[in-house]
Amino acid sequence: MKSRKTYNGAALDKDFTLDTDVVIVGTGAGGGFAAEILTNAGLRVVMLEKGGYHTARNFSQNDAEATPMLYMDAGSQRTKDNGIVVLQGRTVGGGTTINWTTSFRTPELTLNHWVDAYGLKSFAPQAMLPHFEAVEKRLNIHTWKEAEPNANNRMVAKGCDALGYKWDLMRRNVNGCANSGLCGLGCPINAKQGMLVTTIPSALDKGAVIIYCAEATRIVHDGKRASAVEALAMDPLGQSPTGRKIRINAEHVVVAAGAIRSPALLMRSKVPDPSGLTGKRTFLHPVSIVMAKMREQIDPFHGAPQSVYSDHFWLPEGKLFGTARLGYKIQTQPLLPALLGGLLNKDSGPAAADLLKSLPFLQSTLALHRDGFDQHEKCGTVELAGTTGTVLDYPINDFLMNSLAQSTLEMMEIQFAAGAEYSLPLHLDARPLRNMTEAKAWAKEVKMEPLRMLTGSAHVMGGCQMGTDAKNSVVNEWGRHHAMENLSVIDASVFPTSIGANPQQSIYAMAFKNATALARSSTWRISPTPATKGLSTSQIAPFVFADAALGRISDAVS
Amino acid sequence: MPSEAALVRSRRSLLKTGAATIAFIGVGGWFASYLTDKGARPVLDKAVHLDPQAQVMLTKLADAVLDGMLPTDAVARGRTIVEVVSTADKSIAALPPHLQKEIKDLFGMLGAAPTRAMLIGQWDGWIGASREDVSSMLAGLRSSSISLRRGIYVLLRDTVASSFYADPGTWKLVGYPGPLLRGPGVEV
Repeated sequence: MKSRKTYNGAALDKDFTLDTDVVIVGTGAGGGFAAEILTNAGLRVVMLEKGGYHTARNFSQNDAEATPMLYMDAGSQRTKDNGIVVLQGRTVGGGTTINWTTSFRTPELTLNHWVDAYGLKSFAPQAMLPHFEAVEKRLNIHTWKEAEPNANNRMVAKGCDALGYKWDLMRRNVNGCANSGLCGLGCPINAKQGMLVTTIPSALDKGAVIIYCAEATRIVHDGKRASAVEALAMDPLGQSPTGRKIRINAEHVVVAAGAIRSPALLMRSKVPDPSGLTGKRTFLHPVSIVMAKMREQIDPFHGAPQSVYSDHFWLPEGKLFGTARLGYKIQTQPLLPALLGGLLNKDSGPAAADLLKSLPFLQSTLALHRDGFDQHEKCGTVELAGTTGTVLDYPINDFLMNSLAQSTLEMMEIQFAAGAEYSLPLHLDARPLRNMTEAKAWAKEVKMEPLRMLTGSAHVMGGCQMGTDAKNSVVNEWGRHHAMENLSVIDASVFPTSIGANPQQSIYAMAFKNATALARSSTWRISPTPATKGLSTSQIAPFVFADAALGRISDAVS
Repeated sequence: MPSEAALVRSRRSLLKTGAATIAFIGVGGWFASYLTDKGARPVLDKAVHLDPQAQVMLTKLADAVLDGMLPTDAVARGRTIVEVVSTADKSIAALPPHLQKEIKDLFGMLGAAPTRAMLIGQWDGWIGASREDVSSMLAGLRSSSISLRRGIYVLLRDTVASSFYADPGTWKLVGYPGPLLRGPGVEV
């Protein structure tokens, strides 16, 4: 039994201060991965997490219960004009606790573009190879062949085969997956190799500290060096401040709060921004969705959510940018009653009831659009609202709307080729469409405009982009802030474009590379030494806690 | 009652951007609290966030949005609708403060005739509205050329529908057998 230092901000009855080597704001793919590497290097690490410490012990398999527990804004986060639903994790492990385990190496075309257009030499495909391999080993990322794709995914393969489109099997970060399908609600058997069950417990067992239900509000700095991070203790859902304050004095600050709240934290803290790019160029991988009623039972709620994909439309006109539309990846979307009835279906009354009663026969396909590669794309802008609020402005321009409309038609073609009885686009004026003739006529007849053509996002990137100098970027290619000596950003916000694939493995590999470089850098006033296994509790608790009675210190069995 | 075309003309600039929309709802919520319809009786014995006006409104919305899914027996139907309103009240509690305020402000405005007429083109109160009245009002919002109205449609529809399907008791109605695995699991 190993003693772990886990503090619950919601239970604090006094203000609270800690001293450490590194404070990491956020515990998702970036922060969670960096925590293990920095701890292994012998550094004292404190993690701050806005959400709660939810685990398989209390994951609900009911999406109506799990969503407020695990998702930012209870799953209700939207862009400024309400045009795009933006899903993010808000729990220990961040998005890696609730994602669908889909794993892709960053596409080589994306990496080469970063080298050519942004000068990020250390991201060249050959240079990244060992980092991809290292994170694949750590998180058991592999082509998933333990079970057949479920019918929801098989239909994409079938439709692609009929049309002559290439498709492939997904790689997933799972170990002993039971193929139950509710990855989005937190894995109940710890098969998903997210940060929650891998790097975070490993770091905690070696002495790292986590303070959950704690939202970072300010980086304390003098314009050159950061000295601390201030946070507000939050209620158990991570929604409202309780009034208690937390301060972590640190030698180095790692910001990893996701691509909306990382730039927002820098902006709110008035960290110097010589390029003016902090909070600019946010990417969302905007998604269009089409459901279809098939003639056979699909059961789109059971089985690995995503196991098949196609890149047939990834490179329109054979080019990465300078095209008339965005490229996209074809994937699937699982369906559950509350998700289908409460979010994806936009009918009311008997039409809605008819669709819901067809649930076992429904298939759902999505197109993940690769935004941010074209210079004319403004993409999103992070804005501050009130004392802690953050808003993402991401206007849906004609370029994006045109891309969403075209991918909607192309997905319907795949569904018809797979034998769909009808397709139903995610559009307020949708109606069941029985063939491509009807689909094309419908697309000409309806208006394609925001809050009519509906879109969502589960991947937020950009806003603290990497680059060669302080004039063209926020951080360098190692994630180090251009204007601050001891501030790093290690999450999806550093990407200078979207990835063009589900981003978790891109974040892991970048975090592996940049956290390793940080651990080895000469930034430390103390010299980090590798942690050894089997340290006693006293050895792994190098902090003098202000008051041991503050918060809840839980002992967990590893 | 202002026609939709008049609303487009008079409010075009104000409704043009999302920022203006949010500011508009904020100010309107304050305004609406002085002008609510009288006579709404609470549907719930105990509610944290929904005032009687909003409870009555959601009752009427649930009856229309969920028609075809709700029991046909009047007593059972009424009981289910009260459950939906109760779940909606609890789901607002799970939202962060800024979203709680936004939704409560909107509900407040939809409870007062002048703001309701401006927002959704309906002067008459919710108490006397028939299922057909509500369905036709919702259809009008859904097809409106004003994005704010379409946004209100989505919010109202999604609020009652997600509150209904939050109940695992509805799963058998839609052929969902439930999760394959049962918890609780083990903490790592």
